[in-house]
Amino acid sequence: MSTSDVELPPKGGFSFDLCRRNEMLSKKGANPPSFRKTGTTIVGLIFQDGVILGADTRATAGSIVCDKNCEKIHYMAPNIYCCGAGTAADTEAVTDMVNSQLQLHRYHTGRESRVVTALTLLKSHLFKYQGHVQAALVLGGVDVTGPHLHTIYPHGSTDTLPFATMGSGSLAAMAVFESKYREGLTKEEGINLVCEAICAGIFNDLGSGSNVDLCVITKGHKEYLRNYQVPNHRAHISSKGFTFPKKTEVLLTKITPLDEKVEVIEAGDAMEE
Amino acid sequence: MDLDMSINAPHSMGTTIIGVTYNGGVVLGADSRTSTGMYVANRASDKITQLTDNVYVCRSGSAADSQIVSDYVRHFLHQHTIQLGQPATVKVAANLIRLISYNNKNMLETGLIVGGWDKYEGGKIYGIPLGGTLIEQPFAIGGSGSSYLYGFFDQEWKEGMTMEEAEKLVVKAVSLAIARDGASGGVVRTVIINSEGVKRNFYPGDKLPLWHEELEPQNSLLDILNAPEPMNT
Amino acid sequence: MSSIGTGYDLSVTTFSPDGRVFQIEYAAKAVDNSGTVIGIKCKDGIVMGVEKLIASKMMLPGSNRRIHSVHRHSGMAVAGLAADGRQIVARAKSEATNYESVYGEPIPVKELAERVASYVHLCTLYWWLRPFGCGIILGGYDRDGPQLYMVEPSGISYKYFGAAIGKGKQAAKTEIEKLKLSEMTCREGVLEVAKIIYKVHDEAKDKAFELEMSWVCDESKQQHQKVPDDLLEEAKAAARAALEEMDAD
Repeated sequence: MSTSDVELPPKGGFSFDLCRRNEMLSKKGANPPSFRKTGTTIVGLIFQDGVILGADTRATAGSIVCDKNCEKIHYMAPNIYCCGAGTAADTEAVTDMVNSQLQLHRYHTGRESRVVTALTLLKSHLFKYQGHVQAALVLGGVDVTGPHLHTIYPHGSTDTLPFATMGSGSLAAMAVFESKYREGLTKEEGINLVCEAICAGIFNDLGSGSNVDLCVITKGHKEYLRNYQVPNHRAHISSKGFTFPKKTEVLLTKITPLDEKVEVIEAGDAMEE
Repeated sequence: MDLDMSINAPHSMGTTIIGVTYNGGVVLGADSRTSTGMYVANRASDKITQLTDNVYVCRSGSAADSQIVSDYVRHFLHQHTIQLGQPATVKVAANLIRLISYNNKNMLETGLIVGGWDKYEGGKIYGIPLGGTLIEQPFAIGGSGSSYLYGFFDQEWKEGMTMEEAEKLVVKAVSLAIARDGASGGVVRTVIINSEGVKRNFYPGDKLPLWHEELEPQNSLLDILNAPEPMNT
Repeated sequence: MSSIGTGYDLSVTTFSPDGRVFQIEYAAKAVDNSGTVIGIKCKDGIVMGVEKLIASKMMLPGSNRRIHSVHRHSGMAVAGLAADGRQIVARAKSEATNYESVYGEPIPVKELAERVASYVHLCTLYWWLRPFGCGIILGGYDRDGPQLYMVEPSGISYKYFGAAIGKGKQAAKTEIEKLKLSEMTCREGVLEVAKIIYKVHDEAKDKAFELEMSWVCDESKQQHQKVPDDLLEEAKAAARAALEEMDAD
């Protein structure tokens, strides 16, 4: 059986063929488009009943803010959430992929997912790609074995910590945690501390900004608090709305709201074969 | 070794790791600093990981590589233990680590020290540096902080120490390395393995002896400001 | 004596109505037709001996070895179809070296016996393979001391302190049971093995035979090797003398 006849399926992993082309292009002065990164401050801490995850909401493309209110806390399982820093596409894709794998695993085993399962799936994937998948994650959740908090670095190494920060604003947030964290925080204290840490990142790091998202996970219960704090709301909006300069005549004003409300009507009979 | 000093550098463990045999077992010791470039990513990491009930490994170099290698070997050793029907020997554990390190030497950057106790050979230490050499030694040192300890061990090492002497030696050595090596720091963790089992010990950074020109640990101003009574200096 | 399968014995993948696989039993018969092979476990090692029936007077002594070294510390004696035996020995050698290259220590005898038994059993599972027509006595000295295993063509393997296969196995087993093996050293064991083999050899049915012996013990520094020539000669002489004494009775 000659090997030339059989079309082999492509091997897994990256094909690095275009890297040389990119190098040649950048030498000639044509710079590649910058990735959309989440500059980011993401934090997590363990309090007496579970885990609190926090994140800012600014997404940057180079030095431009491309999304003022993006979601960085990704759902992994009903009891596990993951904050992602680094290249936005990478964090979204890898958390989405592991989310599906965890769901299939839940169907298979009939049990609640454990945080270490998510950790191992993420870490093996990232190690396999040797750091080229630039996703730095803070994974937290509560399962049968208790509350867990882990950090996962792009090269695949992991740490297990009682409090953790990642992203460009991690130094600012870590400074807050190091001075104020203690074991056995209550929920209110924990939430306040996380907000302080994220705000430290928002105000002191250029790559982080806008609002604070929180997720509180306890045994059997979770609260996803989107935009818990909005310290950077648009304060100076003109009440008159947008006015055209140079006395342009407005002939017609029609405002179409973007979000359509879709109503689902329950069908009368069940589908028949 | 050129380290990219930005915060996005790969997670590496600057590290000081030590393994020492004594009369009846082994003592493994390590610092607890994991750095990404110039930032300390984890100041209380545990670099001494379990492979089996009676064999532990000290990890240094790239954090990701050393974690993956020890995960693989833990898996193989578990299967081997089931097949054999009795605990694996330290030599077998060290050999498996060596095979992975050697056969993937182009892609891995990790130096390991395997130590444990088995009923045939007693306490044994095997050093597996970068490249995948396997060398059985009465004591082994590794990591960036080990450069400062070669002279110290040449002078202080003795055959047939007791468990207390060996642990004291290890803690002293790690704290000396922490004093001089920027990439080592945090706390000192030790693991003692002998016929009776495994014992883990923890020495916080501010309880370590002070060396030449080192200052007393200062209380943070925050503690002083919040204290109900005036502090006595 | 033996029941013929009539229809259920054509393939090794067919069970008979009373739950037997006849092909495997026939393979065991092939072993019973060959010269006796014994192994004993003494307090400091293992001794194995083979009654090598000589087919032709023109054969050179020392050829057609029936005892093979598998690794430095272990060896196998084969009874039955010699060619099948060679195959098993080759597999055992490769298992032993493979184990050592992965785990860095010589293969424990228990592990080696299990692997050989698995391999022999493998050939009883498929219709395109026939079972091995040989029985193996495997002796080795690892860090848990000397151990003796026997592997049958069905793939069963047990640990023994004394084992015999081949023509004279019943008589040999009775003789071995008389010995006090836990107090015997290998030097004494060699003499006893020679005596037993000479005793069970049937002068009337088979013509000449050559005695082949090996040991692995403290005296041989835990290495598997042929019994040294001087000791072998001493054993043969003692065995012959014992036979004459018996005949004289």
